[in-house]
Amino acid sequence: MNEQHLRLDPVLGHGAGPVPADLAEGLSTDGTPLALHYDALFASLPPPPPAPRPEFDWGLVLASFQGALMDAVPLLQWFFLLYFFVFYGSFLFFNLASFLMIRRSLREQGADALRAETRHVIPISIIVPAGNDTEAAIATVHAMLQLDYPEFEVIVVSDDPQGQQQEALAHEFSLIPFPEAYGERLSGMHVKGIHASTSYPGLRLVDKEGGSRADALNAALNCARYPLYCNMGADFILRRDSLYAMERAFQRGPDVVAACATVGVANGSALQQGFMGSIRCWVALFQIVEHLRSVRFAPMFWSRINAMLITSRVFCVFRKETVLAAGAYASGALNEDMELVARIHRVSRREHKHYRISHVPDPLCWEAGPESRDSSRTRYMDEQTSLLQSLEMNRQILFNRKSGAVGWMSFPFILLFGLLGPWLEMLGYAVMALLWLSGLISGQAFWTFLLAVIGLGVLHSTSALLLNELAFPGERKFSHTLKLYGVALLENFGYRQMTAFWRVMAIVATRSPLMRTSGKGVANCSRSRITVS
Amino acid sequence: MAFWAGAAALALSGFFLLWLFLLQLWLLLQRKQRESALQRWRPLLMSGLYGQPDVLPPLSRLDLPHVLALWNHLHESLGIEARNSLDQLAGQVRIPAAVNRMLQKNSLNSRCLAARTAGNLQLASTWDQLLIILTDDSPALSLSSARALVQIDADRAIPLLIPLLSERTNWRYEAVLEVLQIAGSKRVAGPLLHAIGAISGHQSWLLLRFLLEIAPAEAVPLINRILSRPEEDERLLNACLDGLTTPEALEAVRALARHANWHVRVHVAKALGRVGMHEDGALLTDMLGDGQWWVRYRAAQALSLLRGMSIDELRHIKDIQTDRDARDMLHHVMAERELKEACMAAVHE
Repeated sequence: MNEQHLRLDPVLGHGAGPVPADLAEGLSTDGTPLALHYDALFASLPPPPPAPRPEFDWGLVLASFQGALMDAVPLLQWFFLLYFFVFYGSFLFFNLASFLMIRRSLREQGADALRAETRHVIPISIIVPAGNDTEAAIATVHAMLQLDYPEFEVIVVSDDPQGQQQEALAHEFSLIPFPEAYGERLSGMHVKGIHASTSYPGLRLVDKEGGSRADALNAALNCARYPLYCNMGADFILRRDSLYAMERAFQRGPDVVAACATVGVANGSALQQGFMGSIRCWVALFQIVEHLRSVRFAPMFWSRINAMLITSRVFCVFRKETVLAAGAYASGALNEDMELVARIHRVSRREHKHYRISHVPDPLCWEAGPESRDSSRTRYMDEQTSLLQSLEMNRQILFNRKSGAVGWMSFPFILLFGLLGPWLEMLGYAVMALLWLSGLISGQAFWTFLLAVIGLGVLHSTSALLLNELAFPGERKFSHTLKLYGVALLENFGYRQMTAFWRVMAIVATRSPLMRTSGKGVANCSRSRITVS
Repeated sequence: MAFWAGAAALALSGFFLLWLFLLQLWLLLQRKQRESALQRWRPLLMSGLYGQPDVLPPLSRLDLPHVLALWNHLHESLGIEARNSLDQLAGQVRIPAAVNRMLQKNSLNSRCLAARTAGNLQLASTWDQLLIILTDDSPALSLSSARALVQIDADRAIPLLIPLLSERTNWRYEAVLEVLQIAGSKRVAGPLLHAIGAISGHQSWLLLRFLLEIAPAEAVPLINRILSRPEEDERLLNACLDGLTTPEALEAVRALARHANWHVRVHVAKALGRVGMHEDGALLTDMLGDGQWWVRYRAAQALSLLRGMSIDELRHIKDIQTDRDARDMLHHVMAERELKEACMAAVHE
């Protein structure tokens, strides 16, 4: 007998359908025997029709989605608002805290009546990778030779395969071949020869085979004689006594392994009656305001808690032995100093070394900022790509037990606001605009959001300008300061959003497989820019 | 809340603009004030150098910092006679009383200026106040106080200062040296020698450096004693080797040529180049095979500087070297010497 044709007694409450195995065996769930009958009529009945499937109701789905969205709208609003509050709030805090530190440090310097001549200084090696631009390299070397410092040497590294650059440098500085006992502590491309100047004691040229900028720096480090060194960008303009100011940071103790100063923007500027001249190029003015609000003050705060990471172009002096112990320059790094500083933190923390990376607040170094929108975009994209690479190469710091304030404060901060910040910023604007356009939030809510975000942005920029004037009074003419104030207002209406977009695009371009495989990605663009300098 | 936050931020930005205007105005007034103070007081101070002016105007509070800065500048740049005239002039315009008041202010600039003036005026009445600020965290202020105390009474000040030298790591080396030089080597050498003997090695090297600068002759017996103890702190040994000017401790120096620390070996090579004998050539030639580039370099330099070492002998030493590093280093140092001569010739031309 087929068990499907067994019908249970209706009192048991079962309907049609297959009988469970235990019941088919004639036992109830409590173990008592069941009375099973064969019901022919029941067996002849057609199987009951399947239960009707519910029809897909788009309206219902949309309504439930809208319901969920309506529930999420206040959350989204609060999320983005909170993000912007935390972002601007933290920068305002850093700027204010750093300002107080800088003012104290500058007052200390100003009050020091015993600033007699400094004889006992730590000698410094200045490394100038010549790159591709021979004229710029020659101009840089001439500028370096005029620095006011008792003991320094200049090492120029040239890797021109044609040898024309080496010839031009040799002609300009009376360089002759020198039988240097080259100690190759760092391996790299073959060094063809070393030349020394008969006119300028302390000037040498390292002639090597072509390689990366990091390779050039490592070759120069092999030749460097002095305990401190700096890596000179060919477009840097240094104050004549800048090496004194940098060296003073190292006088505070042997644990100071690096000192960094931010690089100001000085397009078309010349000293006019003791003031920085007015800049007419608007793109450069935007760059100055950006420099003031983002990098002029905050590094001082991070330096105080020994957690300074570099996020833009800086002028750094390093202790050579520390750099060598950390493995010197990584050949793939886009911004060598940026990556090196992160690595020094990582290695020193890992090995429980006492170390300190100092920030020098004095305005010591300037460079020509981009003057067109295209070059400005390239600069922003380069910086963002370098930052991503530097953080990626040293990601072990993040939330590492041993990494202290770097791993638990500055690294996450830069990750959240420096790297992911532009994404969240763009997303914030886009989402709020979409919500408004789809009628999910009122126009009033949208405009209030914009008022808050732009208001805080304006506050951030203008406060940085004010703090700069308070810390370094009389640095600029008042008319120039007013112009910068105007720019600090204006930049929040499009310029900031545009730079955030460029930063987003930099990461997209780096992560795009097409860009990576074609070899024409941002990384390569930035490499050539840095090399050309 | 968002609305009020945005509105408040914009209002605050507007306030910052006003602040910028006020700051500019304040800077302008400061500049004018300074110019007018100097215009009024410079001729008076200059005439005071050659005889007291008949009538001196009262020194206003606003003029005081500018006048004191100028007065100190003149006091520190001129001879003793002019200083006496300036002291008299300061007394006439009641600068000592003003200095006493300024020393009790909170402003760092004011106190530094006051301490500097008190020192130049040798104002004994400020001694207690200067002692208080000697321990201030600010290196500028504490050093100004140290200098003033030495100027007022060096015999009393030096015993107070010496213990601080190894503790105050934020005091600039040159500034401390200047203060010690004001006190004079006779007053400083004894307490320094005593302090070096009393404190542990890693702190005494700094004091030894001061002693070598101030009274090198007094340091010779101490240097010889320290060099005979190779277990001493590396920095102390290096300071001794750097300060070595006589061949008395040569045996001890030679013994340090195989010190485990390569920094010490570098300093040994340098010291041998300075005070070594011709027979130290063999030891220096051995050092050319050192694993450290810097030891080889300094050994080669020392060889070339040894008394009686001719260029031919140096070339011979180079030629007989079987170690390529040693030969290359000697070649390098010889070329460096030739280059230096070429540079000198170029300068003379």
